[in-house]
Amino acid sequence: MPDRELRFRVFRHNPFDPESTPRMVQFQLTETPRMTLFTALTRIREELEPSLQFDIVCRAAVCGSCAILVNGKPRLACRTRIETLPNDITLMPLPFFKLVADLSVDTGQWFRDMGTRVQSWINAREPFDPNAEEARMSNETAAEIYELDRCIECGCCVAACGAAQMNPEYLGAAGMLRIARFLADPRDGRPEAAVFDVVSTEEGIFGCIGLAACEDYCPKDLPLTSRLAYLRRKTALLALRKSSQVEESTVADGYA
Amino acid sequence: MDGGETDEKGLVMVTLPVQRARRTAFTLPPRVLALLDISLSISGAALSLFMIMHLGLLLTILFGEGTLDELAGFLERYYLLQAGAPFVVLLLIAHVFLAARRTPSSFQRQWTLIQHLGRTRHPDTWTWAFQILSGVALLAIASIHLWVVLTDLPIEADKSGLRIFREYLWLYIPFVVLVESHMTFGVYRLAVKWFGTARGKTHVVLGIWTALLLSLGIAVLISFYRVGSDL
Repeated sequence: MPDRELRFRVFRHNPFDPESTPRMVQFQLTETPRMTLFTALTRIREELEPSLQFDIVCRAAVCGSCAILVNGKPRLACRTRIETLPNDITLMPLPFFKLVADLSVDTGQWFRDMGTRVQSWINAREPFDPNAEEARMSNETAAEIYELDRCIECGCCVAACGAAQMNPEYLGAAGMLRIARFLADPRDGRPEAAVFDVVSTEEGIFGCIGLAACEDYCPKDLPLTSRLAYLRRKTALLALRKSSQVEESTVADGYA
Repeated sequence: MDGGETDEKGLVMVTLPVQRARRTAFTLPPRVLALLDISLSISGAALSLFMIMHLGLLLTILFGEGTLDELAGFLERYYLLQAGAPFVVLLLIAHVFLAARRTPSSFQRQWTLIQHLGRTRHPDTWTWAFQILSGVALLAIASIHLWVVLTDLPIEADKSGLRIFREYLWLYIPFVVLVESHMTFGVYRLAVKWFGTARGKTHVVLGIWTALLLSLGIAVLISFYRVGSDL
């Protein structure tokens, strides 16, 4: 229904400016056909408030940079159609992440730290031999890895998670999914003890309380709860079955 | 880390160091955390089974006071009730402690949760908040119930009926409703956490199941009230 008068209440604050205080600012726009939140934000910046800061790159739900809280719910601005929203729209930056200014947050630093913590790369069993034939992999395995690799690092899962709000060290569904992705990869040779060490913690799978908000607000519809459940079962079984071996190998491999 | 070891093909095995979670000498070892999480789920499931069994026993009141008295007499004569009750009480205490460690303890964290609840309005997060509040209420109500019943053995339909008719009806109405809903949300969370079940289907199944338990529970309550009012 075009021609609606839309009222945007937008969070504004620049933490790097000592004069700035957090506040909500109202903007009015007339709805146009097939308008997205990206279009609306761009129009606000071009026509009403040139200093408004927000992140947009790809406009196609691929880069993950435009995640914001739309009426309290984490969503990608580029794939949120205005016609699905009421006349009054409140826009806030994602919680949990470091605020850059206005609607812009630094998800990159958090994801890099998460990547380091979970070792977000193939832990090769053998040194790379450029002359050797590449190891083969079944189509099913490749499809599974591809499915788990679709995360665009937008941060919606972490911003939606109640557990993450209360525990800033929590790895979040994005971190767990990353671990599940490398567990599914036959090329990865990291010892079980190393996985156990990162996952079986309050910052890992046992920080998760099963609220499932991560899955509900994931703009890529990733199978988060089923993978979190898989990690929980695997970790619990490891803990029950061979705790002594795990602890021994942790020390022997120099992970202590 | 050393330079790695050589395998049978003469290739050098390389393992990269893993950055460990930030941990001190006082942080719980991973195994304990896993056991605590499993224990919370198992104690909840065990209490749910007990509550269903408890409801099953109470359903005998629908067939008349005599049936309930006979069954209660049987359980007491062979000390099944006296032997079982301490286990249930211990299970309840364990469940409270295990669940309490998952709830936000500092006011800062509680405030963060409240803000998050109000902002995102995510239904499953709201049911978790309900679990915390109903858990606290249930601890109080269940303590009163256990004390009143277990200090006044033997269990008889007339005595229970009078108790509900005269003074405890306003305790037992919220008791029945809170027990059934706490159980439903708990079982639901357990299924999602451990098995990642399809949540839409689980909503339907648990909804029907809860409606059934709730109506049976209320039917039992009405029967006891009638027994009490007839005396």
